Amino acid sequence: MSSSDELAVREALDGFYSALNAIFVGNLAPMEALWSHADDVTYMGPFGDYRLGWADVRESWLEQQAMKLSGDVEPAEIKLNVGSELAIVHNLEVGHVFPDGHDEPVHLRATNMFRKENDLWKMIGHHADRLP
Amino acid sequence: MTPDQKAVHEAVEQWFIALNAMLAGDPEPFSELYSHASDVTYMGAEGTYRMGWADTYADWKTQAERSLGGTVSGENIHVVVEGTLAMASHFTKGTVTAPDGKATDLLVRETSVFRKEHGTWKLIAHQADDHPIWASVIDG
Repeated sequence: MSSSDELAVREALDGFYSALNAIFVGNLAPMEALWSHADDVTYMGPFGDYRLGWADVRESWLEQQAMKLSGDVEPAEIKLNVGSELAIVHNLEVGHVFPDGHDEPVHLRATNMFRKENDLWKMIGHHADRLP
Repeated sequence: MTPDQKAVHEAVEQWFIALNAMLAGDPEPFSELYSHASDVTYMGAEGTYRMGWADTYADWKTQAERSLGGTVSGENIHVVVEGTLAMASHFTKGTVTAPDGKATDLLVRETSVFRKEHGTWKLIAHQADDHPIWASVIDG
C-alpha cells in the first residue's frame, strides 16, 4: 500500500457519497462512473437486497434514483484498509433523507469495497444496514 | 479456482463453524480465525461497531456467554480475492433461541474481509445486518 493509494481510496469513498447524494436528486451518472462494471460486484443495500453483478446492482440504483429521496448522507468514523489491489472501508453513514417530504434521519453502518482497475479504484462492493 | 480462492472459501467455512461454536457458548474458534491486529473492525448483528481485536473479541465473548443456542449456515457465498485481501458476501440463515425460549428464524446478510498474514487468510473485518432478535438475546 502507498500513501497515494490510501489518498485515492479516500477520494473514491468521498466519490461514493457524492454519487449517493446525486442519486437522491435523480442523477445516476456519478454512481455509474464510480462502480466497476464487472460481473463479480455485489451490493447489499439498506432495504435488505443482495445483488450480484453490475447489471443487477445498477438496477437497484435505478430503483433508488426513482425514489428521489432528496437529502444528504456522509461517512463518519471511517476505517480504511488499503492493499495493493483491494481496499476495504468500514464506516457509519449519517444524514437525512426526505421521502415524501418527511425528514427521516439516516444512521447506517457500511462496508465499502474498492478494486484497482486500470489504475483507478472502482467500487466492487457495498453493504449497508440500518441501525435502530 | 486458484489456491488463494480455495483457501478463502475454506476460511468462510470456518466462519460458520466459529459462529455455531459461539452460539453454543464457545468464542475460542473466533480467536483462531481472526487476525489479532489493532486494525480489525467488527459490525455485529446486535448493532455494534468495534475497532481492534481486543474490543472485537470482548464482544464475541459477551455474545457467547449470553447466547441461548442456535445453528446457522451460509447461502449465496460470493468471494473476491485480489492480492493479500479478500472479501466474502453471503446470507447467513438458521435459527437462534430467543429470550422467550422459542427457536426463531434468522436471516442476515454478511460481509467479511480476509487478509493473508504469514500465509494464512485471517478475518480482519466483518459486517452483519443488525437483527432485533439477536440484539434482544445479547441485551438480555
